[in-house]
Amino acid sequence: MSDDERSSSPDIKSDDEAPSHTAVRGKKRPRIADPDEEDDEEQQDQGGNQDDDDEDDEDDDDEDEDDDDDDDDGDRRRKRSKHHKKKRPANRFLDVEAVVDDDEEEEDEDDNYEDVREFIEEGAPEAGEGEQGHHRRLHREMRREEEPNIEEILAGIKERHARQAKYNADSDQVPQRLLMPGVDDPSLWQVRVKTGRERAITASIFRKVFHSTYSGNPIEVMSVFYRDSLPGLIYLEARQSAAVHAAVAGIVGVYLSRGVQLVPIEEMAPLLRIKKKEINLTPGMWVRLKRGKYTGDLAQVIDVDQLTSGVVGVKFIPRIDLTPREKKQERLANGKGSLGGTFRPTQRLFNYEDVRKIYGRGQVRPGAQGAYVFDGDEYLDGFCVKDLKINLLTTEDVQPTLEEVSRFAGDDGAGKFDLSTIADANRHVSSAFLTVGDQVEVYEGELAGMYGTVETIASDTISIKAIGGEIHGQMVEVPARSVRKKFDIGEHVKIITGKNTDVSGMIVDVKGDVVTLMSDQGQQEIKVFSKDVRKAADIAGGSQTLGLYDVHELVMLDPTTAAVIVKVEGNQLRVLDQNGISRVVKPTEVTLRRDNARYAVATDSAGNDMKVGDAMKEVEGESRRGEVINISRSLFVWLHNRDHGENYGVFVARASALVSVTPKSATADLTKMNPALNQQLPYGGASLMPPPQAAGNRKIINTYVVVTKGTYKGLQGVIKDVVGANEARVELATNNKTITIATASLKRKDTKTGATYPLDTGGMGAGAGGGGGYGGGPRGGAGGGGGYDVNPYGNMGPPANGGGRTPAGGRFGQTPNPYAMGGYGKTPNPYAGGGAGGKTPGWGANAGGKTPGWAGAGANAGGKTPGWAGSGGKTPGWAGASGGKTPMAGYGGDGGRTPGWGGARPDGGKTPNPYANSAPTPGYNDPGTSRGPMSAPTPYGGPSAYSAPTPGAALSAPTPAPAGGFSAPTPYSAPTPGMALSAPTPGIALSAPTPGGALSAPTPGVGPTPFGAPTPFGAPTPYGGHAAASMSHGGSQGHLQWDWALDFRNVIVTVGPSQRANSRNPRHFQRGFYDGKQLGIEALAGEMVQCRSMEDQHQVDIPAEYLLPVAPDREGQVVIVIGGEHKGQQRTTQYKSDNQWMTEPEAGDIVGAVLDENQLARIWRE
Amino acid sequence: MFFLRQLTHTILLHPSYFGAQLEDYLRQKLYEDVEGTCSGKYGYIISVVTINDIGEGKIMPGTGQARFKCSYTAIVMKPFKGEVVDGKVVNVNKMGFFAMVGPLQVFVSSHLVHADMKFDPNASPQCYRSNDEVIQRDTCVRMEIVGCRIEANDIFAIGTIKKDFMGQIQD
Repeated sequence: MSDDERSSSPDIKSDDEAPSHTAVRGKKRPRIADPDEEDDEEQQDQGGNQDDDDEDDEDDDDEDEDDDDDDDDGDRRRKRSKHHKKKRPANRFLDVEAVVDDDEEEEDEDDNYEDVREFIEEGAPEAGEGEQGHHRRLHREMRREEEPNIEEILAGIKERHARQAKYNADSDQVPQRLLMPGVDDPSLWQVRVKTGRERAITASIFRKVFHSTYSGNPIEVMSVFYRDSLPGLIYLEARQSAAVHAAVAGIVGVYLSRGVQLVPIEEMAPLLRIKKKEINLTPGMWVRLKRGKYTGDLAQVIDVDQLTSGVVGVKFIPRIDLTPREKKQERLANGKGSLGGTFRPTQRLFNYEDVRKIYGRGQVRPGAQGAYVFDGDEYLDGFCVKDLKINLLTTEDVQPTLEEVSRFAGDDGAGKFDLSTIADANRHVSSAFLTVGDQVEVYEGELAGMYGTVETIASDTISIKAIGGEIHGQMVEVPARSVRKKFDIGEHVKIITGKNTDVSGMIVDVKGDVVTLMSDQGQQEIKVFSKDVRKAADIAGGSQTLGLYDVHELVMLDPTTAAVIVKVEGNQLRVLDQNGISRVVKPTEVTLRRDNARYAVATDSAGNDMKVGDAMKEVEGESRRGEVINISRSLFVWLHNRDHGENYGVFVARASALVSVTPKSATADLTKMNPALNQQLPYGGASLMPPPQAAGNRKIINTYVVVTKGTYKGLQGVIKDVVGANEARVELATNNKTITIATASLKRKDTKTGATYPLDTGGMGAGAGGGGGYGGGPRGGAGGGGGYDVNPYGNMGPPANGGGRTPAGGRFGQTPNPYAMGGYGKTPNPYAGGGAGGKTPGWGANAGGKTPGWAGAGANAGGKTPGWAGSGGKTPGWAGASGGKTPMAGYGGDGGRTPGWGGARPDGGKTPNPYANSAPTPGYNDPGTSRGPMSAPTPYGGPSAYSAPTPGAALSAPTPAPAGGFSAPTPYSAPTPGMALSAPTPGIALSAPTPGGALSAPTPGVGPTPFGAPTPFGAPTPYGGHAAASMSHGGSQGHLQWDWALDFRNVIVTVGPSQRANSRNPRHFQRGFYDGKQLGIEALAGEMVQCRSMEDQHQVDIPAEYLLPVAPDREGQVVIVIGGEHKGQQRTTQYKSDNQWMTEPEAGDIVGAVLDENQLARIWRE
Repeated sequence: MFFLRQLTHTILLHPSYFGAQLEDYLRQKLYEDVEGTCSGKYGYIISVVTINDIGEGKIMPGTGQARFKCSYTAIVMKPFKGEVVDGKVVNVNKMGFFAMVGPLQVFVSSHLVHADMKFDPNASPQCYRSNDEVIQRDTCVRMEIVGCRIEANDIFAIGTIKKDFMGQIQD
């Protein structure tokens, strides 16, 4: 009845076993050949006995005793069955006639097997009963006499056999097959019960059924049983499910609600079949423990003396709780069980001292042979030695790992333990791990010590080609189990099984079956069996890949979390995410970012960019160094350093917390030297450009304003800061308070005139652009803000301001664009493309406004960029362009007139100017023009062109040459009004003899071409010469652009001959009617200038080309500088000397500027 | 072992480089591209000795970049099993020590150190010590290469000093 008994018995259905589970014997009983009444009674007696036994079981929980009982029981039954056998011959002997009875029965049940049995039994006694009584002898002799009848007998036999043939196909199996349950037999019913209670429930049912046997309505259940292998299930043998229900009704632990299921007939026999296990334990074998806190622990068999009784002695590493005793007592007090409980102590060898300290001397007592007894267990050499039942051990599929085994050997490692025992445990798999081409060593048998290469592999034998020795080169067959793989130190191998699967490494040590390898990935040594290792391919052995996934590649765990693969573990990836957390993911859970590493860049703490492969170092924390292996979002950087143990040397850091280990070499990056690439990114890249809105707002800082709305209405102050998009902090002049107020309720106030203008960033920007140009230009970068404040424009009053805006756009709107004519119309404005005007109108406008700032930036090489200032200040067109007019206008304005074009190029100041060296060559190309005249000779100078970081060189270089260069492109020779733009700009040549100067080449009235350059278009290039000339003269003889007047209002002009080259207009305006008359510029209308006569206030529109400035004629006059580096500034004359005027110092000036008479124009209405 | 070997390298050049200095670029780029790199096949490219042929540039369709196949002669270093090399120790730990042989990293496992040489973790810096030898950081050692792991662009070697005349090089 117990598990043990059943598992050891071959067939639960055997006669011995069956009664123990049989409550009531059904139909099978009568099958016994000689039903014996007495026996029957005995049987029933025994049933009662059994019942008692079961009751005992219930009362007494001691399993062993129970077992004994059962054993006794079994013994008795065995005796009884022997008794049966003895009885049988006697019966047969007595019942000679009874044979006839049997025969009759045989007639009745013709197809029954008793027929066969009787026949066999009949035959058998004939041979064996020679020494019986005379009677029998006589009988036999009589039979002998009947020998002549033997044919009949044979015939009879034959006849019988013929009849039996249908059963007898294989006679051995007939009885077994016939014992199989059929439809006529009772069915088996499966009932679910509480797991673990099967046994008790079975007993209860048994008792219940038995008691009902003699009651009024017996429960018709033939047998009840359960199987250990099927927890939670019991089976009842009954004809009807009603009987089953009756039998289990009222028994606790039976889940009737889950139904009573009929077991199909064909499944009945397999249900009761028991697989006979060959348990073959030998000392030294490895087993695993099944129960308790030691579940799964490895144990070694040390004693098999009591194997027959199902007990083996094993030793294992104990798990003794060495936590302080109080805690343990606490736990005990909490009812958390005895030693251990749910808590599982770690495996540790038993140490007497430790245990005594914790549990006290009384608990541990020394036993025999240096052993200790603690808590009922015996400990020897640190191991727990215990006799355990076999069913508490797992004997199959143990597969001890090297780590476990080496713990048994103690800390000394592989030296002490017997490797053969592990090899034994692993032997049965060894041939499976061999592959053709493996180097193997025969380690046992007569060929022991031989080396060879595996040639073929059969199931158990392999043929190897011997290496070395007498049989070198021969093929030898050896058993697969007697070889082991052989590896040499230094070989690169890969682990193919075990927990380190797929780790590759180089062998550093080989000891018998155990190889030690140094992992490629982490800094660790791994010991493995040679059978678990195979040679790795030489190339690419180190890259562990899993499908698409390679180590150090970037994967996305989710859309925001990136991670880098640090190791491929079998089918999983170990990744280190951007937060530094290492985890294991399946490839299906991530998306791969292939090629990320190739393009990703980030900026380190020093502002340098880093790429994959750079050596970096942390600036804070642990200062770890490593090589960048991947970058995510330019923010998270993964680095790798072999020296770091964790995460296989990979760690993650923020880009801003890193710094390059090696200083960046300036020459390393060829792309940096590439002028063309740089050109695409003026200002060092569009991304560096501040957001337009913010940039725009910043420009109004330091503006003197008046509050026009709200509680502070009427108060004046200075903008100190810009808050958000449209608020400003204004420091009030009245009470020294700083308020935050919307810019919409502020107006710019001119401190001198008291006039207010809107603080509008867009429209005002244009005006401010002009102002900035005027004001800031002379002071370079320093006076940037100031230039804005002291807007001389503002002084001129509203009309002028309005003029500052409207005509700016209007002029270019109306004027045929010189460049457009030349075919530039379609070309994108380089400035626009450069991200200034085109991208951000606001920027453009405000840049103009803040020109000095730019000038400073642009001039950081050349020092001054009057040219730029000019373009900013003098070029309303530019501002207009920025404000949304055609970009070409802006281009024209700049390109046409800007003396400092080269310097003004935004990138000119920052990057090595490739044009610097080409300056002295006639092949000079303005960047703008170079796009057109592609036929121009090579723009590149010598090799040093790329190293010359001085755009200023170009700026300050005497460049008459551009004339030649500029003679090439068509547009410049076109007689467009734009061409004359430079005419009234006397200062241009002075400050920078740049292409701008060249552009103005066709200006009439200039001397002959000093260079005599045969320009392709035949156009004389006097301006080139003039530029040179003016350079030589310093600032003394500048020349005005013909259209200078278009930039100024409120100045006094006089009318003279047209200064415009190739002008279509007559040389004199209205045939000289106005020549010599002084007029004041009132407004601009395209290229026409609205002038008002100083004499009679008569208004007349005069083309700008006829206008000449009226120079101051006495001290104290307010003038405006219309050319040169001070262009746009408003000055007051002090005294005159040789055509030069000393002016009064302005704020920010140390001394007053000395200005050429020609560059000054008197202010009309002061 | 060092070899003088003729190798080729393909350079892709952006059109903006096309010009008089093109060849200078190519030379510069070649040096930058190949010197100090390692190929599993040829070993570490130590130095380009001569540039034999810079080749004709071919414009690649689509990108406009020019492809030059440069042929050059370089000194390469490739380690071999059994080769005896001198190196300088860079890192010592309980598993062994790492030594650099020029660009090549060689690991000498503690298993491949003389038995009488023991790891001394308490010394500063950590070292392997025997009666007459001390191997610590910056020590010069002579070792024999017992195995190489050759990857596509890296070579890693394992060495031993467990042989006669191996180990620390005493000046």
